[in-house]
Amino acid sequence: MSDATSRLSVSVDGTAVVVDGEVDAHTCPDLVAALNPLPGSGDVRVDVSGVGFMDSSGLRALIGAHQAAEEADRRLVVGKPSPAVRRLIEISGLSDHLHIAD
Amino acid sequence: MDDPAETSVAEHHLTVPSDTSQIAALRRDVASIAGDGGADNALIGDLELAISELATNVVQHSDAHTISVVVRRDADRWTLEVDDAEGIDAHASHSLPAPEALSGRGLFIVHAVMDEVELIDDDGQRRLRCSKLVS
Repeated sequence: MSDATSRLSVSVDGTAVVVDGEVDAHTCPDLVAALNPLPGSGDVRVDVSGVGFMDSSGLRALIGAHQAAEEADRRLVVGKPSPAVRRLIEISGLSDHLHIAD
Repeated sequence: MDDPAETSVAEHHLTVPSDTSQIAALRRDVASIAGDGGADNALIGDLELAISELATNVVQHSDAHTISVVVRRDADRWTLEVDDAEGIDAHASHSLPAPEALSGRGLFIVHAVMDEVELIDDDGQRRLRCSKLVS
C-alpha cells in the first residue's frame, strides 16, 4: 500500500540539487529550505527528473529561487524536467522565463 | 460500455480533513477513480493538478474543517466539484500571472487544464465546479 501523504526528498551537493517525489503545498517547504538561501556559489542546478507531481506550490519555490539567483547574478537551472513538471511550466507560461536544461 | 452515450453516470464523494497532508490522498483517489473510469494518463495528470490546486485553495483560504470533493463521470466529461472555494476570485483568474509573480497561479492552472470552470454561489456557500470534456 502506498503512503497516503506526499513524499519528497531533496538532496543538495554543492550547487547541485536533486528533487525526487511530489511537490505540493505539504512538501514544498522542504524544497524552499534547500533553495533559500541559494546553496553554494555560481549557478544552481535543480534536477527535477524524479518529480512525478508538482503544482503551483513547487512552481512558486522555483520562481522565488530563480529571482534570488538573478538578483545575485547567478542562474537557477531547472534540469531534466519530467513530463509532469514540463507540462506545468508550459501551461504557466514560464518556458521562456525559467532556465531549463535537458 | 460499447456506446459512450450509454456510459452510466458515476459519482464519488471524497471528504478529508482540511490539511495540506491530505492533498496527496485526494490526488491519489481522484487518479484512481479516473483510471478506473477509463481516463488516459494525460487526463489523469490534469485532474490531479486541478484537484491539488483546488484543495490547496480550501486549506489556505477557507475556514472549513474539511475538503469536500465530488468526482463525476458523465458520458462526455469528467467533473470535479470542490466546496468552500472561498479564496477564489472568479474574475481575476483568467489572465496569466506575471512570470515573477509568486502566487495567484493556482486557479490559472485550473483554467489551463480544465475546459470549463464555474464558481457557484449556493446560498452563501461557494463551490467551484470544473469539467474536462472527453470525446
